[in-house]
Amino acid sequence: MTAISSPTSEPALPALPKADSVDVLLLLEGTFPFVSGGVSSWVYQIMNGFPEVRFGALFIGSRKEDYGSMRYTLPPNLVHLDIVYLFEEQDNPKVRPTRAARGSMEEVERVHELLHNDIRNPQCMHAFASLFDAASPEGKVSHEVFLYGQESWDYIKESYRRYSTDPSFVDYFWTIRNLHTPFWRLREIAPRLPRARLYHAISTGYAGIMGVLLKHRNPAPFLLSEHGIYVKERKIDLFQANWISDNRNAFERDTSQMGYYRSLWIRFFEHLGYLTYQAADDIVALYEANRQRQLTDGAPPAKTRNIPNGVDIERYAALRPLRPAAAPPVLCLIGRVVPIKDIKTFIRSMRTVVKHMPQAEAWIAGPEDEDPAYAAECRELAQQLGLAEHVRFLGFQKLTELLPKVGLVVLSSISEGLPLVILEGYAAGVPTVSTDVGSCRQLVEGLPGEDAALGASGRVVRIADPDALARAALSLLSDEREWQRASAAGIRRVETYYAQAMMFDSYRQLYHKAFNKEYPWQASASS
Amino acid sequence: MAGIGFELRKLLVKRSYTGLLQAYAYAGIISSGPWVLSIVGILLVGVMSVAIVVPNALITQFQVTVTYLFLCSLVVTGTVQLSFTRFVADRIFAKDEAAILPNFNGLLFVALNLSILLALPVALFLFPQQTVLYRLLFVAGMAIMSAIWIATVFLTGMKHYKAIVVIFFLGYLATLVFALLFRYVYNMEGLLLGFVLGHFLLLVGMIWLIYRHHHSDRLIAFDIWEKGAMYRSLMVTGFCFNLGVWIDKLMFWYTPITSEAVIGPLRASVIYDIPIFFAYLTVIPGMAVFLVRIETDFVEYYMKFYDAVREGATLEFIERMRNHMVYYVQRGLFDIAKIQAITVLVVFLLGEQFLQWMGISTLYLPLLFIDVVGAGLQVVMLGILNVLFYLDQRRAVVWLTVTLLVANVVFTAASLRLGPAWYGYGFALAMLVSVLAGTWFLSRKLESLEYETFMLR
Amino acid sequence: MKTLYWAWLALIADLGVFIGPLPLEHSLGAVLTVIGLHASACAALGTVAWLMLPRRYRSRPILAWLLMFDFAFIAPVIGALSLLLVVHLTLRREEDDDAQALPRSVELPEYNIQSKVANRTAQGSARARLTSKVPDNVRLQSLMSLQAVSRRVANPILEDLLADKTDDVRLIAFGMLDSEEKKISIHISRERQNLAREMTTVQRYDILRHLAELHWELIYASLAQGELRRHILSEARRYADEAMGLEDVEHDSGVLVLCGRIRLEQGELDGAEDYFQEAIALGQPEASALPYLAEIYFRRRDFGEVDQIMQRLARLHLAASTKAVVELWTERNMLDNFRDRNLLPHI
Repeated sequence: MTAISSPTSEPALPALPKADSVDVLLLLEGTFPFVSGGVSSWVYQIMNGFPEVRFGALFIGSRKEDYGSMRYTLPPNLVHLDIVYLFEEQDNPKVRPTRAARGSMEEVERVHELLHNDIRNPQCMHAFASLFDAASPEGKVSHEVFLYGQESWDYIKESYRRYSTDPSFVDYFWTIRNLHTPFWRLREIAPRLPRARLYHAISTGYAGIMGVLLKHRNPAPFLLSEHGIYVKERKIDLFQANWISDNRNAFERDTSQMGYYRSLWIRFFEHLGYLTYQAADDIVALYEANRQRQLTDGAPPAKTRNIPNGVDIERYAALRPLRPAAAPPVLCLIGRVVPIKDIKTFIRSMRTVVKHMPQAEAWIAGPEDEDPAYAAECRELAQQLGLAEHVRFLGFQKLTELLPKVGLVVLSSISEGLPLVILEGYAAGVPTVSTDVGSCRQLVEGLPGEDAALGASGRVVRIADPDALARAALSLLSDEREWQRASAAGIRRVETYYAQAMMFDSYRQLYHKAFNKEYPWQASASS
Repeated sequence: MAGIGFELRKLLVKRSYTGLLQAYAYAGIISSGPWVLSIVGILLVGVMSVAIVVPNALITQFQVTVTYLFLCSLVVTGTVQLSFTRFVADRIFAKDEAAILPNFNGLLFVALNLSILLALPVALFLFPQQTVLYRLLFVAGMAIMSAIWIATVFLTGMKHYKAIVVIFFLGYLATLVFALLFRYVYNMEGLLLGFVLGHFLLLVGMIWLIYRHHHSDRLIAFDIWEKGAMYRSLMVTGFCFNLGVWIDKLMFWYTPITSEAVIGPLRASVIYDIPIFFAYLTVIPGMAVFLVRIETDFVEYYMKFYDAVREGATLEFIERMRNHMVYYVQRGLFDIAKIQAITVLVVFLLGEQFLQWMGISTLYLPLLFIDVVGAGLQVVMLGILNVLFYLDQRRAVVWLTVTLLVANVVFTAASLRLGPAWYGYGFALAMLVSVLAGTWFLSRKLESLEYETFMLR
Repeated sequence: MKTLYWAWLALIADLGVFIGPLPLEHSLGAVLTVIGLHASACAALGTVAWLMLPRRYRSRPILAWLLMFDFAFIAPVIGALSLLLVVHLTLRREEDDDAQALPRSVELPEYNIQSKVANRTAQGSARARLTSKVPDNVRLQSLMSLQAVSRRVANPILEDLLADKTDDVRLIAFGMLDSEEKKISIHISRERQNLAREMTTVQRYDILRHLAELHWELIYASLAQGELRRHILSEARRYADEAMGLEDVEHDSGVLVLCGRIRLEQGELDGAEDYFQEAIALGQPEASALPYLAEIYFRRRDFGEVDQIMQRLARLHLAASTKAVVELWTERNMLDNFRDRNLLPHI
């Protein structure tokens, strides 16, 4: 992910634009316009890249207080913006005993049965979508029916008996409630959204499943672009989450077995992902490894393709002459100061760098407001290691001003997709030292063949290995010829494979295919 | 990448199931326990004064005055008894015990002033025949009795059962001694003076006990009157219940053919009162069984049930605890019914001898029989109400007590119209109807207990 | 006490009203007179009672006074006085309660001594189940099971997994290591802040020692490698030495062992040996100090000394894993305890 390469603004929330119909409806979970970062920049880039297309967007967030003000000025061709918070404390409907309509529980059971045992059944996604569509006040499974219905209570009890391996019923009950609540929040907003010629989700998860619902209600093509792999990220979160309870006692617990609720949540997101893949007409990954992962997670191969990110070469090429002849001994990490960037490893590596190159400096350029505690830890670490002189926290910086002053773009992240900063660095002639995550090896060493023949445009090291990171950085900074070679390879690589125009072309093709299509979804749904 | 970072943990614990699990409410209702004790005390005072206070009509005047003091103070404080107990339980649950004492004082303050203000005009204008002392004692008695009910409610809420019994015993001993002492000086007023002083000591004893156990930095507070601090449903319940169990007596007292004027505006119904007072004495065994069954067996599983819900037991365990609860409710009510049935049988067998021995006409016998049945049913009714309070079924309890009040009015009016052979049936039938309604309601609530606990909170 | 004087006067007046002839009158006038007189007496009594209340109870003066008045009113003569008596009696009681509050005893935690013998086979299998040939979901499960293994054993395995091809495995391994490291770092940063404060020598000693131990913990749990590891070791040594340099503090053998281990880790065998010897002289149990000496001699290839130490160790009660080493050296019970070989999977 890159730092923001677009202006930030701090005004109060302006009135959101509204429209009755749009060309492309973007489904954005936790990104643009309230969170800065690579995906948001990309969304912004796409909207600016297609000024003739009328965009709408739905921002799906957790709770209002988790987000600040808008980080981007909305482009003029974003004609509709809606916001939904899935976990906002919100009054449930008034408590009263409720009876489900006849037959509705049978449908609920059928869908759960399919999801459990026969998710590959082609009917599963359609059954799910129509049940999801019924989760409205007038529908068969209104929120009241779910919350207060005698039938839903009976079904929860039965499912607990059948499936739960965790003893605690109350935890089961609340997990089920929390798991399902977002569906009603999403369903509630669906009728408010404009008609669209194309639904474009930027992740699976809640955004993806919203696409499934919208496509069911108003058939139109559904495009899915995944920057990371949502299911994988949720899984990693959930593996480490300590809020999930595990009530098995000492005799019941087998440490090699995952707690039931953990696996329940994981399965939940896996299912959301799987259904989204089935409903999507085109599935875009940033690079091959991610596409493979999508296939593993159930994406039909024929629908998948890779479209790498691209950068505006001209903008950064202009910076190349501004840099001093010798590479400045400055290692710059460009990105938000958050744990996933593993800034700490970067700081630790400076112990070794400074030992061999005392004049070296580490710059950390990116906003610190997303996780202030982590930022404080990083500053403390620099102190502890006696590196206060060598590590500078710069806050948000304009890349065009920053890049001419740095000798290396460093990426110590533990997870990435296809990070724009590397490409932006290349375009400005700055080589990279990156951890071996996401597509970074591909970006540095090139894909086998012509790409690889361009030579390495930097170094790739293991994650969380300060020593290796330092050695790699030193090998470039202390060897003028190596550095020049890498810089030249980077420029050629980005110009050949990662120009913005190429990305726009690919998406233009996809958009036009969708706009020109008579849509057959309904036919297959009724069959 | 689309790092939404849903912090799911934040929505984890919204577990507000039963709100609070503190046993609370039945304090107000079980104050009928001390009430039974007071009947005994007053009867004793009367019996032991027969030879000294002349004429005997004066003793009746004393007894009727005291009865009215009971009735009025119970109905007046009935509105706040239950909601105050609930308030106390809430405070304890919120670990805010420092708020309890000042609010107790605040409630005491309100009860005292309200009683004085209500009783003063009555004393001034409705007893022209009576001495200054009588009128003043009437006012004081009313205030003291109200304060005592508040304190009793409080102490039962804190489960100081033993202390209550001891204090009541001592208080009534003092009442007896004072009454027997002062009757030489002031005759009927002497009995009343003794009654008032004895009860004042009883009140002081209770207050001492309360102050000993609760501390606070404030003397007086009125948080309880703030919006939302009291449950209106509980106020209605308290009022309806107290009025409901007294309304038949009131109707008999103010129906000309069944009653006579005794003192000032106070009337009594000799044919109705004597049997019903004796009948109330027969509930003692039932009350004892009730206390033991509900407070031990039922509460044990009640606690286990909610602990199981809260602390994550298996559904099977939760259901088992529910079943145990149901079992002990059934068994408790059944035991109360059984013991009351035995009492009724004993009264049927020995009632005649008893009345003869007491020097009361055996004409009262049929009325005594039906009143004993009615009083027994009243204990069962208490048991049902108590369980419903534990389950926090406030709405159900309101309906039940309203039913009781209405039924008692309707059936008693009918019995008055049907003639002497039917006297007492109104009360008994009202109790029967309420008990049946309560049982139906209770079984329905217990049936869907988990559903309501989880889904409807 | 002028107020009390007034109280007595009011009390007598009240008594007079009731003993006098008026209470047995019947007229409304008499009623009003008696009530008036009684009320005035009560007002006086109420005032006195109110004045005698503890100060903190007088915050709402009118209400408090009215409450006292009510009590005086409802029980002629004795009312207000009884209430006052109650307040004062219970207040004294309250103070006593505080003074006699009993300390609560805390239950000792229970340890299961059996579990000290770790099941090492599980480790081996965990490592085997984490190789890249195993399906990913099995590997993730195995990763979870590492949480139950001691950090010293688990961390190197996790460290290896940082280079794993699968994102999930890599990230979870990273997350586990990172949270481990974070726990220690938080303590370090807190203690560093504490160190800047004014304090007694003993407090300073405790903090320095704790800092040395925390840094050592990072090393011991193998949470740092390469240059960083050297840096942290030198920090640990700096704090430990500074603690040792403080005068007027009793140094126990534990710090000496720590100093020894840091030097041993840094490869200064001679310095380390001195510290361990001194620690033993100061009373460090031989069972815990001798193995380090043995390591020093072993590294110097001085096997005679190693053997001697093993003989000494053989007489002691040892942890299972040390015992296995000793038995191997002293060749005792080799056959009988053959099963103990599984405690030494690397041999």
